[in-house]
Amino acid sequence: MSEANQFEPKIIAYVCNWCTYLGADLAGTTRLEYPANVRIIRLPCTGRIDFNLLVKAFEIGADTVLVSGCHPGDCHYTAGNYHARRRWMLFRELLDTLGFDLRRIYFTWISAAEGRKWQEEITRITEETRKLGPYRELYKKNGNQNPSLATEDESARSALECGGLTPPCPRQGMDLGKEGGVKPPHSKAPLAQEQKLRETCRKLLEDGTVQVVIGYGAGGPVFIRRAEDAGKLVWNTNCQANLATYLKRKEIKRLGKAAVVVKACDERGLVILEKESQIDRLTLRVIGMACDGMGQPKCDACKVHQPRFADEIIGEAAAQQPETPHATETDALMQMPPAERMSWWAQEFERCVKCYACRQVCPLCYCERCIADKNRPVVIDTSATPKGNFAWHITRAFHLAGRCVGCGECTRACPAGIPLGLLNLTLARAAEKHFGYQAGMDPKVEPLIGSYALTDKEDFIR
Amino acid sequence: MSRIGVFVCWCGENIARTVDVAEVASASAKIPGVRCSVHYKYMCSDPGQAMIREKIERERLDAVVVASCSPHMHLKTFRKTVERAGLNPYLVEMANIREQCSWVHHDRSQATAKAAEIIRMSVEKVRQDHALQPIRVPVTRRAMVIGGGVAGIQAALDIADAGYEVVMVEREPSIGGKMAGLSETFPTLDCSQCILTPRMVEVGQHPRIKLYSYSEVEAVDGFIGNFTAKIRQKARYVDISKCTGCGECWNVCPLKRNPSEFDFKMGMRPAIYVPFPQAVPARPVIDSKTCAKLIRNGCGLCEKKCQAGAINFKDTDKVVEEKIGAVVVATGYQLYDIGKQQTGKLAGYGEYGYGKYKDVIDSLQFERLVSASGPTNGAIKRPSDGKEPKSVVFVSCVGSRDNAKGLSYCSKICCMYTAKHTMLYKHKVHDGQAHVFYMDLRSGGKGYEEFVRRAIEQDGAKYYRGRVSKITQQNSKLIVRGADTLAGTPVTIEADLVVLAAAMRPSPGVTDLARMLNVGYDEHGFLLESHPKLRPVETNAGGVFICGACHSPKDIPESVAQASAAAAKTQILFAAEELTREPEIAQINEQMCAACFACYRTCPYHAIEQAEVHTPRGVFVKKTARVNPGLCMGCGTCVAVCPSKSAELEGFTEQEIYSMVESLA
Amino acid sequence: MSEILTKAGLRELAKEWNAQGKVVAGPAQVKPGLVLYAPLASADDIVWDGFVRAANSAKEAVFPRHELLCRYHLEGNRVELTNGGAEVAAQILLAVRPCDAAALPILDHVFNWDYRDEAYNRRREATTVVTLACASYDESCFCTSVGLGPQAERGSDVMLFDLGDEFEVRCLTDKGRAIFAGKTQTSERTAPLSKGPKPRFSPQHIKQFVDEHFTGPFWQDETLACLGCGACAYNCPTCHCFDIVDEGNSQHGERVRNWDSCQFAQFTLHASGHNPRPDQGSRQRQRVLHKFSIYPEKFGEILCTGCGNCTRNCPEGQGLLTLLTGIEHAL
Repeated sequence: MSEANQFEPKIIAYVCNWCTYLGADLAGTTRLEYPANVRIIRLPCTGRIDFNLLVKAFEIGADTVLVSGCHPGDCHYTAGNYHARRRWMLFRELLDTLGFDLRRIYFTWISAAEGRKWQEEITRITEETRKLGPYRELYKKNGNQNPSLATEDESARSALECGGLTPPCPRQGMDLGKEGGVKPPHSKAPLAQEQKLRETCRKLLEDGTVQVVIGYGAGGPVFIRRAEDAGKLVWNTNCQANLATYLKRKEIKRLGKAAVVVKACDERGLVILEKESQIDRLTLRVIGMACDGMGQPKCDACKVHQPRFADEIIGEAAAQQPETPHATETDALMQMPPAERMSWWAQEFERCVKCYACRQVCPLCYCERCIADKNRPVVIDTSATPKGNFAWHITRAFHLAGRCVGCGECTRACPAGIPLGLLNLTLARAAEKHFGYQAGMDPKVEPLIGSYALTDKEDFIR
Repeated sequence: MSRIGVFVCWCGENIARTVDVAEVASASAKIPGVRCSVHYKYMCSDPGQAMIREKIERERLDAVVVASCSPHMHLKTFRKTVERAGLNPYLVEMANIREQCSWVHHDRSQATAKAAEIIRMSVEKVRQDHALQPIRVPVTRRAMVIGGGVAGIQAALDIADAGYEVVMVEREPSIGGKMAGLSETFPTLDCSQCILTPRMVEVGQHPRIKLYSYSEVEAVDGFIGNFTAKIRQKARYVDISKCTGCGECWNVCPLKRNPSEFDFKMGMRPAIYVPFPQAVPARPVIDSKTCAKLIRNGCGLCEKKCQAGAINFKDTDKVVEEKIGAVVVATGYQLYDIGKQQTGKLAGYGEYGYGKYKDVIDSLQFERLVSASGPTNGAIKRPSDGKEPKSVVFVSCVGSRDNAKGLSYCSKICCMYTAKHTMLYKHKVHDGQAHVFYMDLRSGGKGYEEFVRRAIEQDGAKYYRGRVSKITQQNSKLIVRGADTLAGTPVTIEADLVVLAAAMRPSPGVTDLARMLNVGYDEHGFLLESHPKLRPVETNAGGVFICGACHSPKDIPESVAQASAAAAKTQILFAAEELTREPEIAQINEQMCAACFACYRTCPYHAIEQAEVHTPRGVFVKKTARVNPGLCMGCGTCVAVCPSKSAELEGFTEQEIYSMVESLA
Repeated sequence: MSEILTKAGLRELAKEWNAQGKVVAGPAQVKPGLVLYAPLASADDIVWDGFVRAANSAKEAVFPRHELLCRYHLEGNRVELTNGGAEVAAQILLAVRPCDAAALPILDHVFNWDYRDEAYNRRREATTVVTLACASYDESCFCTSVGLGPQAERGSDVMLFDLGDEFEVRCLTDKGRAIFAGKTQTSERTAPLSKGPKPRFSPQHIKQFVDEHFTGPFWQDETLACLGCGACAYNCPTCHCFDIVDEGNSQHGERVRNWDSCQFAQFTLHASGHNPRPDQGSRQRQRVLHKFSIYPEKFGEILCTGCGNCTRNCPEGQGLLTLLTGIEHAL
């Protein structure tokens, strides 16, 4: 390759004002030379650097991104870099799941005195990137619109589908050719639970404790406002939806005090919602239903059959099933080499039309103005292109880091059959591995993001 | 902003030699919204600044980009420039094409291309900048000094003498700190208490100093110029307003044999006691852990004896609040506890027998032996049998300069006080022999080198350049095994007494205090200054200053100098009518805020509160997070954790940063 | 007498079309239990049976989810615009359902009304619709309620009827005849008539209700289960709302058109901050109004083909059908 055609890497560096920026200035004052490929963006603190900025850098054509700040303990704002460090650790796990080339992101601590270190790092990073070549995975706007394209590794693909979180989609309907359509599977739950539920709700409405009961009905969620309608509530193996998601809706909030029917898996979301000041447990009535499984893949590994924090608990679950970890799904995925993993995800995301069913159905996505709807600036392209879809799904998964309780609604709701829960699962496993943390199990535990420990790992930071 | 002016500086040859400034200026002229794009040799000079002002007026510019050196160099300069021309000073951006471009690249075309992109980024940023106004806050002109040692005393007197009120908080029953327990000080061999106690009395009597002795700071809320401190006055069980200090109580106390904290356990004190005769306040305190009355309702003799009725066994801790505008931290030091196995790397020095052999003591304990008002009235006696030691070994650097199992730093004062100790010993025990094992001799202050030479040449101290490997006991002698590396031989000395120069460490509890004040500290617990060269007594928490050994090991002259420096900084703060703070702080869009309070949990300064939005008639609308503009330091961590991006950081808004990134597409 | 073609033969024909450079779209199984309609990599992927209809619609062929309108480049005071819209290859929509096909002429009205949408028209002209008539239906199908049926011909160029291992092929238009000419054999076999599901509601009743009950508690009360996502609209053959956005920076970028859903909370949010449809009830009401009142008034056709995708794709099992049957009950 001639000089003129040599690939010039585009490197974007997000640095903190007090340490690394001054370190880079020091490299200048001491006239230390380094390649001219880097573009520096100055921010007050690494604490300010959100993962969306990293994604955006790749979207506009960066081949490598560097994030650099003060050494732990030296942060000009005392703790900003500790928060950043925890975020980056989790974000790398998410990127790894996506098959992102982690050699494209560097994290360093460079102090104001380390001009030489700046020079060395930039030189090394530029040369490494030159060897790796351009990186366009998040940059593409036109993908292949063919969902039936086979991957190279059929066995891995089928492993994912068979053991995967994707449930058989009930959307195709059954080939019946007659009226009546699909009958719900025979309910395994005792009728007694259903009767007790109706009775409980009737009473709650009658004595005015609540103005609305959010529960399961024959054709979907029902909102019982009058005691005499309590008979519309059902309890069977079709009660898959996580009704906690309705607590965020303003149309529901203005109905008055509410009672919500939850399974123990849904109840975990309530723990998080309370921690994040979204619900008031004093006015919200929680009716917990003991559940032996709804026939979804998530039920195989479920540890919580019996609600724990509800105001009323209806039913007794059978003995806890032995835990079969979710190993199969993520293991099959992580066995693929990163580039192949990324193509696998690219192919899945190709079918995404940005309907945001995943967001609307999640109880923990409650922001009235979602970051995806923000257009000054545009953080996430609204377009359903590879670029826009990666940006959305990365954001959604990461905003749920340490919060997702694994209710699986996102996967169930996706009309395009994308196994969204896999992304959340990886972060949940990372949270457990690194911090012993499980979302929604213990109301007293502090949330994962927004806290930090001096012992947080930083083996990936130079 | 649609009328942006770009000013490209040559910086003499510094930029222009590598970057084609003319080309860069003309490339910038093509960016949408740029009204004028010029270059000049020295933008920061008077004519350069005049050019900027003139262009602002002529072209009616609404934002300015100066492409030159680092913003750390001249951002303030150019902000003042545009302000003079009537443009809001926060509508200026600097494109760093010197330190981060022309000075680090040599290829002209690459550097020019990069400079053009850097300027482009700044233009896009300034396009989104908001005009900001500095934030004004009032000032409470009262200072709190935490710590009543020599540094705290100096700071308090300076501030009080300048006319401001001072609240002093001292954790011990008396002020004076470590200096009150020293015998004589180097290099003058002044009597420590003689020079200190007049100042202690001054503090106790000063009309503008309010002394909380036997008290600790429990919480500090607020921000620069507007702090509220909660101070816990520990129960003395003696009403100091009634007590006359007559001494009947401690004379009559039957429990006389409690190890004295002031004497570092070299002497005893009663259960009701004044730590030392010159204490300020000269009023006793009852040790609730040993007093028979407090433990099992026995005795009570002191109460019976007290003619002033000052004993009060029903006393309790009291928490008071003080409003202050500045805090000076002067919490001093403690010695490394060398006998104890500690956590992590600090393993203690069991091989020296400290704590095992009575006659192995540390330097502060030796000071008490030598001190005229000490437990032996200044006679040097072995703790084991009270005999006069004829051979004393002094070991330097115990715990200091030891990366393996001690502290990495040098404690600065030990070489000097060890030399002093040999001299004081010799002056008292004329036929005694002092031996000093040392690594280096650090005597850099005024008259210090001469002082050490006196110890060696006049008072005959023997110095061995080497370390001590082990100290054992044989009969009643201590066998000290060391090395003399200059002679190249091992050295064994039979000593009657061994004095270990233990490392200086920050006082216990200082890291908790630092967190209360939002002051940083290093891995040893020493408090962090704003800048090691140019701002040694300020911290990154506005309005909080540090002085003395809490900052780093230092001797008395340095502590006093730093204390006066901290006092001066406090006075600068108090001299302002009101304070202005930089407005580049966070803001929450209360309409969009989902009230998840991730920001509230994350803010390192606890500057975000949980608030409510109400209609003008008082009807509750929603919960929201809200930033206290006085506390926010502008780090932006809240912005990063906010899921809806309702939190924004002025000066580094999402729009501004993303525009910069997008411009690189 | 009828024309027939074996299933294998149709697959081979599809491969021929591919070889000619035409794009062939068809239903393919993406995952167990999920059939989606999209351009095929290979005609071997097409599925003919075992499902009622694809979970998505075929409208993507004429109205893509993301379309480049133009590119812009600014320099100083100059603005350069380059049109988007590359050459469109001929495309054959194979094995759509009658509810997909009928949607196309319905969409033609709005894309050629006060402005001729050339991007849409180019694609429409290049499209040949080969409809596979329905042999079954499920509880979400309601084509018969809106004047269609399992063998409706509206919008189709060719109708295929499943006879087992072969199809009966009925070419309805010149376009259809052009691609099947000479490829079929005559036969005695012909497809039986198929009735389809019983009508669930009357469109006249719906129009009447929504016109008369603009205010009132019905809309708020009956739409509480709707979460306001776009799963229904994006999989609906007739929904066509779009959002135009600029993607780029101050110097260059692209102006693109993306799908939009009237159920999103920000759909009618004004720059002032006011939203005339601030809750889900008003948004659902608008949808029923648009499809069953306004569109028919303007263009003479109901903006719905009764495919049932809205209900099938709804995470909470709602969809337009639930609301429409609710209205029918209310009357």
